[in-house]
Amino acid sequence: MDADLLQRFNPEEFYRHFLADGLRPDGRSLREPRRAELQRKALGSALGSASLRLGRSSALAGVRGELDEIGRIEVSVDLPPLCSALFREKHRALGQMSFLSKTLTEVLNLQSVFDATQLVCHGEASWVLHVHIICLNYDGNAFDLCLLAAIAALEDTDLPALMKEPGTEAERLAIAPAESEIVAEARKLVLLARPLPVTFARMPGGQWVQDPCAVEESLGASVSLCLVDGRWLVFHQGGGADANRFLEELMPVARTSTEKLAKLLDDP
Amino acid sequence: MARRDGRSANQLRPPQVELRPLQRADGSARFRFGDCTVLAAVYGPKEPRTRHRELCDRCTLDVVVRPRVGIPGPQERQMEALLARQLEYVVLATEYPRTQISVIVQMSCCDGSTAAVAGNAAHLALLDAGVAMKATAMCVALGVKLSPEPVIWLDPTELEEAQCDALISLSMDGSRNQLVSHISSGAPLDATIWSSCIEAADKSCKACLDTAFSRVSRDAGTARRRHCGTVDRRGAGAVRKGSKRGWQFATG
Repeated sequence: MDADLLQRFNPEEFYRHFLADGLRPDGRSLREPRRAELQRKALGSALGSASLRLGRSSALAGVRGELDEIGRIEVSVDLPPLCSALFREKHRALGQMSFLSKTLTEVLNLQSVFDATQLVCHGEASWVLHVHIICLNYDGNAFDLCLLAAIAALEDTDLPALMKEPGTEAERLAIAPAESEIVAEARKLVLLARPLPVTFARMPGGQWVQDPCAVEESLGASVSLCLVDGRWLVFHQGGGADANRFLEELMPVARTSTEKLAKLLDDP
Repeated sequence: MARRDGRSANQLRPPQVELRPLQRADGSARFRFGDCTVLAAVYGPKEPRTRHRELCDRCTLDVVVRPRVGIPGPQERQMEALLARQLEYVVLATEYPRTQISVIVQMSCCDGSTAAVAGNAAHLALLDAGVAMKATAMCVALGVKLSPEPVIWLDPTELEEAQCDALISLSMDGSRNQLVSHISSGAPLDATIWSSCIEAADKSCKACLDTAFSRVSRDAGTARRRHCGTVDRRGAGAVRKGSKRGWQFATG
């Protein structure tokens, strides 16, 4: 049978041929992530922004600031039908979107990751940072893609200086133009630790491959690990994984590959 | 540390199974851990309502979660996605090409561990509907308190969930020793706590399965389509260690 036909109609069999040689159809070895490309300051109008590509997956993240009583980070992930036919059904996309939004909000607001006191301005109001992430092209591994884009955008964020708006009774805070009386200094946002993600997918033969593309994700289970300060968060949404071998096998691999991700984020 | 309801740390609330509480669904089940109750119904395999939902080589699995009050929000959507992935693993989808199986989950009383209870109810409803499955995967939730010293609370109530640092919801296929899903929220955990959580979940999932199966096999002998009472608390439960409040398992 023609290779293209086999790939389309029986992806499991197609993959089995490659995995027997320890390779994947795109030429990567089992534990090799795709090439990551990060671009900071991708948007001019946001407080901070970044665009990230992982192979053919790409996402754009932007940070928008609002003043409110309690300072925090709010993440919203959008997977529009534009990025993949998988999300043509609104219902299916919503489940994935709310999972990613909730999880990333939770991870980025962890005490060990982000110190919310740096968001306080003038003792009365705080910045609420809305991180909007839009997936432009989906080819698997949405978790790593969105989390890395969010971290890069937050690290790129500059909080603007504020002044008291004259002429209003309540004296609201407003973004200060140059040469005005500043009540809150402009500053750069700092993350205490980076939560670094690694995703694996389980192939029909039982091997785990790192940084799966969309086809690999559809073949079996996929597991996202997130390393925060030497400890783990695990997100494994369905699909069999050997209970005894699971932790011993994947966690050490994940630990070494997060070091590479840290280098990517450090790179100016 | 003692728990409010008198259970020890590694004790489940008594699992209760009621099969076919709904007469008109193709399969239905009510599952509870203590007060936390979820009702699930299964319709299908049937013809998909729209053409684009039809897959030529397998069935589409459609999961709908309804909250106790109000309209479904992001939390329900997330639970739907998790349940769909979980059930996709157990259902033999290729047995039913070009059909759709709908699973409707109605939360009826929420008292902690809702994701686990919903997972169990959905799974038992599929069993009741006679859908072909390759595994029996039961779910359980765990709460982890990190300070002053790490404690794992099996099957936390809503009140206990608020006190815990991290919550884990696990689903295990006990016979093959496979993890079907596990999701953590809250604080990150180290590898030793992870492995003890998996071990505790493994034992309790097996016990849940025993309870469920004793119910299913008993019903198979009698009239199937009759309304069934709840399972006797002191009924089956091979791993039970003489406790009146619940099921206890040795962990660690």
